[in-house]
Amino acid sequence: MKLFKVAALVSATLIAPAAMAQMSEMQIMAPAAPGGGWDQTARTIQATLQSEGLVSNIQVENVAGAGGTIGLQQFVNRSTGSPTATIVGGYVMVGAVIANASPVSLSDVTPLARLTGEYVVVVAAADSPINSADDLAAALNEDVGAVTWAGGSAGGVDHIAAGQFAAVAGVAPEEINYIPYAGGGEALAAILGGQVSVGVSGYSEFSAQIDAGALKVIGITAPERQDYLDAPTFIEQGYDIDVQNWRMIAAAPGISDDEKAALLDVITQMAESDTWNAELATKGWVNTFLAGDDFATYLEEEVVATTAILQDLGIAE
Amino acid sequence: MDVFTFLIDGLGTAMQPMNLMFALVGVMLGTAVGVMPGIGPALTVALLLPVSLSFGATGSMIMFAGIYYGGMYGGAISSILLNTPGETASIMTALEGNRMARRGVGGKALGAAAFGSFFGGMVGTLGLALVAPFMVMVALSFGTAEYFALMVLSFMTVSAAFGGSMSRGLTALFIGLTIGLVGTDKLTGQVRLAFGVPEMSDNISIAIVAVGLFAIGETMYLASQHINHKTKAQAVSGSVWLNWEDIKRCIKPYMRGAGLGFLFGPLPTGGAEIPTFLSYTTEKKLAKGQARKDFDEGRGAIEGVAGPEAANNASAAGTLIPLLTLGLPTSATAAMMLAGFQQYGLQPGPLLFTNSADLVWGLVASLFIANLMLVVLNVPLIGIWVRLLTIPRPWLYAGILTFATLGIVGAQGSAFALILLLGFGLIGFVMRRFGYPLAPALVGAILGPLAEEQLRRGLMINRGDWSFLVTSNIALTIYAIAFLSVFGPRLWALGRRQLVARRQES
Amino acid sequence: MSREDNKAAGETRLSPAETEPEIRLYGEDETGNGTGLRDLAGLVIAASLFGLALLIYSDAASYPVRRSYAQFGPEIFPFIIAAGIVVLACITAVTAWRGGFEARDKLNLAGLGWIVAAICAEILMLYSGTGFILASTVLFALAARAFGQTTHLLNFAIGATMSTLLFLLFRYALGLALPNGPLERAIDQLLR
Repeated sequence: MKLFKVAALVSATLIAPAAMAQMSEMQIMAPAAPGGGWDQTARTIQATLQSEGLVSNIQVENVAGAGGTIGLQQFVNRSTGSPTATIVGGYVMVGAVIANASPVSLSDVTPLARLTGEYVVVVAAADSPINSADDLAAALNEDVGAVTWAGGSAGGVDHIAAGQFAAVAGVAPEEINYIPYAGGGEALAAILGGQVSVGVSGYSEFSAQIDAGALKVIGITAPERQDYLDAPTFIEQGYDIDVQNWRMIAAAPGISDDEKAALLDVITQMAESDTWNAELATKGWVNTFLAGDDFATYLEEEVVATTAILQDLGIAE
Repeated sequence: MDVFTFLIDGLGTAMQPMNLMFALVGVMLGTAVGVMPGIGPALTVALLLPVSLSFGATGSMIMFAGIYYGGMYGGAISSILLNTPGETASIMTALEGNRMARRGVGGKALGAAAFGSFFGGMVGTLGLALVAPFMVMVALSFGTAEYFALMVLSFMTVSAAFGGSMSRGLTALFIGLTIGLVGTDKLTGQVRLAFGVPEMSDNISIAIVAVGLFAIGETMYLASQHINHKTKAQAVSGSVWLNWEDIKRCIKPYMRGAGLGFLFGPLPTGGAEIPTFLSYTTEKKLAKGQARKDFDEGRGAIEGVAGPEAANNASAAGTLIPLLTLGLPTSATAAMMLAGFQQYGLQPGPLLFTNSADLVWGLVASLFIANLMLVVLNVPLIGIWVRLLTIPRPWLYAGILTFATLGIVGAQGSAFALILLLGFGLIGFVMRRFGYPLAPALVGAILGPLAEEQLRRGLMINRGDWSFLVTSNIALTIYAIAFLSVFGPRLWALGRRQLVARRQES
Repeated sequence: MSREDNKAAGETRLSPAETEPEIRLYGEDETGNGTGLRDLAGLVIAASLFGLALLIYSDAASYPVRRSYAQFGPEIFPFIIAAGIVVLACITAVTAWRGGFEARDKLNLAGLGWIVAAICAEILMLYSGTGFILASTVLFALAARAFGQTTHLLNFAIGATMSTLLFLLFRYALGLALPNGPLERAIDQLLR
């Protein structure tokens, strides 16, 4: 420990110029393995904060497992009260906390902001008889088991979107014949090969095939039309579904309002910077920034709504 | 002829000095990291994605290709010399390769692996350039019934090649199947065999199982023997280089392995595992003469290294077909390549070949270059690599343990993974001590979940009707191949015996 | 060395079953080097396999019934595997009873114990937050001891050098976070 203190003293004088940044240090936990979506988000935040000169020293730590709940639990246990600790997370975590009966939940951290989001699209092979949300609803009402859905993991955002559509279309969500794949990419072969009726996943998983005309879009779960996709939303077709697979950053529990404000200030500047938006554009992510109390309220609503739909799907008790 | 014009243009780009340097750095980095168990090329590419942005699209693609091939070769080095396959693609290489290393001809095994990787990579890349559209059609016509049939084929041929005791081979396979059960069932979200431990609610990483059973188990086994470990191992006996005789023995396995790898690469069944399993069993089955003796007497047969190494690199090129033409990643590394493309605003898919032909061919060309660089750089180093074995054993094995735990902790980010590692190490130790083969356990852990998923997905699509399994001609053909490969030789022998008997009668 | 070679060979030596067109499942099919003596350790393996099967069965039997169009839930595969293991456990028991396992070398429990202790020490140190470098130095030193290397100071020195170099490589060349302790934080402070 003594060595540590000496070293800290030495380095504190060495890095004095870098202290021009708003914060001298920050830790980001990515509750996923390197390479995944949350890890990429964490590393993009790290790169942006450093290149914008907002934070001088940032470390990313990966703790993978159980839909992010292992990382979340470790974060709450270790970092409570730390003003420089943050964690990246997302919508999948809401479901994972419920499905894994995790002892800690998203209400145990201090939400800072929603950063990016991706809407879910329902697609069908180009020669499919299903052309619109009405066609899909009619097919479901005729024989719910005959409509096969290919999408991401059970209880994930794709499954939730499919369940919500079924509910709005007047079918019990747990009746749908949803076939989980490891991800939208793996489901793609089954959809293109015509082995399943429709596919449901994040837009980026299907965008190349949509552009090439190999897949047609039945609907997108956005509140209004998106300029990157020439296809109707479910809402304008009369089916009220608004689902986005969002990613967020949160701070440790038990920090003061001032400490929270300092972090939020840095994150807000980052989200408004050109570097960040350029980086998002190359990755195909949509900036759906929502900060502070608005985000906290949003998060609470999402937890309530997701719990309900997971119960309908038979995933949660 | 368009293909070749593009390819030559691409080669021109890749041959620029700066790009050659990227290839060199990539191959070196890949080899260094690939030697470490648990940390494979996919993870390395993932970690370097943000750094590489400054190199430009071509430069970073070339570097990734180098890391990828280097990583595959690095995996072969640790498999052959240290019996520590850190990646699923090099499990089969460890079986014969390590036996060769033990009798002092590890250099030849490394050479066979290096040239096999080169040959497989070349065949795969050429195939990618020539028959990509056809292979895509094949991949798309495969549904759950066909995939399940493929799993049955793999299980049957692999079990038939266990050798020794059938009951112990099957026991190892079932232990593997049990390991494959642990974690969340993908189709329902039901958590199985986790006993309330959150870390176990994910499927156990195959890297942990492989490193535990092989590396940790082997270390424990050696430590539990009453021998003086300070006697130096016989690292090299005779020439480390391949002679003409060795090369002749490798040629056919290279061709068969490359063919298998290229055929299976585009199928979404997890990448290089199945073709390397099949290649190994094919070589073991077909071996005659000296090769037969080498396989049977546990001396380590060079064919058993050559085939799987050609297969895993050919399958790597094969995975690029669905990635480039459909935007469909079929392996972890392909998924990282996809992320690499997206970083430059490119979306692999049906339009990529028309929209960015130059980049696609630049990538193909960089695969050629990286492949060549690998051989040029690593073959002269073989003599140095085999010297690893001259490190005094206590430090060599202590070092292997350190590397193995570092790889696992680094990739998983939690010390819990080490508890699993210790557990699998103890299982591996007991299995070795009682003469249970290790490979079937890994085969079971890899293929079991895949087979279960395909079967149950098929049943969901067909609403519980089992007949879908036998209504597809492709599936039936695969079952026929499986049956023939296992029982064919026996029927053949039986038929001949009857023929001989009849002749003797007359 | 030669004993080890024999061991490796024993693992894959062809049984008569491979040269003749029949598979025999127990007893006789073992590699022909059976001791012919009742094998207690083999019986323990058989018992553990029974235990494993029971564990899989009881876990699978506890899953809630879920509605699915497959009519094939997550419990079916575990049941099949458990059944297979029961059969194999019976075969193992018969083999051990008839003395079908090969003779084994005398067990060097101390060597094995040092390896297990080395890994346990690393796990405990990582959990208690001593950081990667110290933990893997101890691992290296204890593992070297397991192989009879009693030059403890040298073992620690080599282990420490290697661990530090590996830490630097992973932390700074690849950006991979290894478990941090005081030592790692100090290095971090010095280098940034």
